[in-house]
Amino acid sequence: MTTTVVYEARKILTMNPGKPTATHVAVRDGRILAVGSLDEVQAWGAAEIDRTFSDKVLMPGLIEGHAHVYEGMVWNNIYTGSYDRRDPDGKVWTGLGTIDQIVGRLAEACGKLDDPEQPLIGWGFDPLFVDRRMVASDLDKVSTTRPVFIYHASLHIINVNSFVLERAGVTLDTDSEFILRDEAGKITGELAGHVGRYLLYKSVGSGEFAVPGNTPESVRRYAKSAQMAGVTTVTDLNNDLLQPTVDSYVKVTAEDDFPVRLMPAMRGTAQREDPVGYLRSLTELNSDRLRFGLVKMTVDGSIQGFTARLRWPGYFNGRPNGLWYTPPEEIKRVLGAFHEAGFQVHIHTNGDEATEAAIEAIEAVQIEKPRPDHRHTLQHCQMADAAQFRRMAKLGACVNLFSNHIYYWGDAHYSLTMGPDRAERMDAVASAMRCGVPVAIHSDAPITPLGPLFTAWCAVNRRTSSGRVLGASECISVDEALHAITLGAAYTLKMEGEVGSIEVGKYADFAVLEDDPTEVAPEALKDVRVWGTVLGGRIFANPRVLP
Amino acid sequence: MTRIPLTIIGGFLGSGKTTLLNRMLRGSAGRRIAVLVNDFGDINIDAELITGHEGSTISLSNGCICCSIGDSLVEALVEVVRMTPPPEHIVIEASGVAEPQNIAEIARLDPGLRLSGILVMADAERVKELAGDKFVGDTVRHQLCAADMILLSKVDRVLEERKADLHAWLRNAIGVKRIVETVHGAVPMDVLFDTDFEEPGAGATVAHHDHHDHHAHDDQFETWAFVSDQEFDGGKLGELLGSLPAGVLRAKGFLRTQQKPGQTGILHLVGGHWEIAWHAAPAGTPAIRLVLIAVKGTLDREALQKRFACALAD
Repeated sequence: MTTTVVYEARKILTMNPGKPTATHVAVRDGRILAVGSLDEVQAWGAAEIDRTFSDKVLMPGLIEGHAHVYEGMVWNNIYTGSYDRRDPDGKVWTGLGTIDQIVGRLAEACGKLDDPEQPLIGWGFDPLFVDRRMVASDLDKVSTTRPVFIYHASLHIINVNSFVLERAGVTLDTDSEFILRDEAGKITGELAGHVGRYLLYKSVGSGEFAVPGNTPESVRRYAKSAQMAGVTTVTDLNNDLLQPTVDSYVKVTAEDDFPVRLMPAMRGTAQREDPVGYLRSLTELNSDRLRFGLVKMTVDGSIQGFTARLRWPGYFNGRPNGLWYTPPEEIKRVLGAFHEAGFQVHIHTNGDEATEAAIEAIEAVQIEKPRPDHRHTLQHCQMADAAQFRRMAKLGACVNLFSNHIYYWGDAHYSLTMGPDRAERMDAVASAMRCGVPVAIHSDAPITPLGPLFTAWCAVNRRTSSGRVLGASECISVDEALHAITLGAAYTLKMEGEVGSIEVGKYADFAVLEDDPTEVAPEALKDVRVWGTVLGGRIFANPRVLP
Repeated sequence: MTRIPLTIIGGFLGSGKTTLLNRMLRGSAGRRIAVLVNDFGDINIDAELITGHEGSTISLSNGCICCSIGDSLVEALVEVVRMTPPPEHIVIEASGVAEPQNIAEIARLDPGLRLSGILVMADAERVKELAGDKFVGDTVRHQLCAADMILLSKVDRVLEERKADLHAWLRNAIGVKRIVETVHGAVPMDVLFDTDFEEPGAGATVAHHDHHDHHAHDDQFETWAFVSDQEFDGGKLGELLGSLPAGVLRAKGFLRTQQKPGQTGILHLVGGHWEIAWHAAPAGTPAIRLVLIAVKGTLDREALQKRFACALAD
């Protein structure tokens, strides 16, 4: 006999405009049976009443529409960023503001390594937020006998120790724009771009990239990271979906304690004989916690890496225009194939010229093969203006904006990449909504931390890390932001009929909060505490870690 | 350590890179070439040539291998250079939107590699239009500018006057001097590769080469050789190599200079840049033998003879 459990809560924010709040939700077979007062939900008959959440606030499980399983792998290395960041086990790694602190953390980790050859790798380092420039001799204090290197948060530059420089054959005379020097002309140990990566991998091996595909453990850790942030549906928005990865996904999503619904997006331009047929065959593996069917394409690079494709007047500091990662005619061709087959395509565009190319591609395939409700979604789309949003709305496209960028790189966009005007309308959620484009907002984890409530805070307040409000007219209300991280994101994944609100028939997926996001000050939205989640009626409490 | 020569084949989508790579793989003339391609699917290697297929690598019966680049050129290239034994030549198919000079920088910095040229394919039918495209125009122009030589493909599909117009446009608007016409990827191996003179004083190779030259003429190319038993003056030679006629596609051979007694230098010159690898070796006969391959009609033999002779040490 099926049991019915009624969860009592201090407040339930349903995101259903027909019944915005409630105190009880009845769950049967992993789905929501009833929402309302205790009397209302008990109308379905006998039920067990669970009071675990009596002093908590329930929301629909949050939805991260753009993040990567790589978030589950970065924690194998040492976090060296300047912001506090929580790992999948719930431990908060304090942000480090000085080079000496970073060296200290790395040295401590180095002491725990057994294998004398094993490289020590840091990640998340942001040179904008530390006291001085990091140089090779700093990392030499960590070790002179093993490779030590640190990925910058932008992923464009890698700091290495002298051991790596020597192995890579870099000498005082090596002259290249990819091997950086300080004002005095001395080599700093910063290796840039693909050339830097080549020198590093050639001298120390390609490390974690040597293993093709994603391991079950990395997928589990990724799911834990999502759970910590109150997320119950998460994408892995660009994956070649090699067989080992598919195997890992199928295996872990079948485990009882796997806490999220996972939606991988296949890299549309990945080489295989019949990409459409391959994706179609993957959908046969779909379950309630694993959903294949999304496609990802990448048009350009990143704005802070100066590889995004910008329209006139280009980069504020005069840098040459960025790179096409996939040329527009290829976008059109691949999009066309998946469009015709009925799949939904998520298209990465950062610069506004890349956005223009993506819009033209969608327009072209729509004219050629009109398809109602395709919901192809522009991802990041950070520099779109109102005219572009209007075209997207007309074409039936959605947008998932990168609101976290405002906080992490907003100051750099203001002074370096875009200049004041365009920086103030970057990630223009309010404009997109005014133009009628369905909107989601995202973290792109691990590029920035996975946390929809933080992302919502960014969209509401638009504060940069220095405290500047970047384009007040693009700020949205708390209600709008909460919609964007639930139903809004669900809509961009064609999942809003199953998740995104607490309504009868949907999955019993909840974010369990200690605070009410609609009652805290909008400036405090990011500080709302997440107790855990419920997925399909099963409770997942976050680990309590003492600070 | 022998540096592995690396050739980059650039050019926009549909410019004919794959056709050329197919030819290279089939006509490798005994060289164990590793070709890194963007997509196996396009390469279409004859099944009877394939001796193995493991992950991202296909092995061919002629000793060549073909590797798929996948998501990361850098990782694929690292894998190839770490192979044992290493390939004798590496050819990279740059993606249709890559800036080939960025890949060339890898060859310049890795002491294990030597840049053997950036060859950029341009589709005679489309290149001019693409160079004016609102989205990719700048990318296409950057690619053309980066070329040591441009391989103008599909010339059989355009009229003579259109071809002349293309040549003029490439020379004047883009600023490229070395243009080679090709149909179905047919380009003489001497133009594509420069590995004939790897070993100092290898007389047999020279003879072989002479034979080759004749064949390579095609009516598009001409060659010219400089032979001497004297030595160059290092400084004068440098000046000379930096100012060769614009039509010179490649120069290769061995030489000696007064400044490096007891050593023989192997010259590799492609387009605008050149390098000399030095080996300790007694002077052979002749002491200097250099061959230039150029676009037909661009070599003034008499003037060249005079200039090379002037670069000899007093």
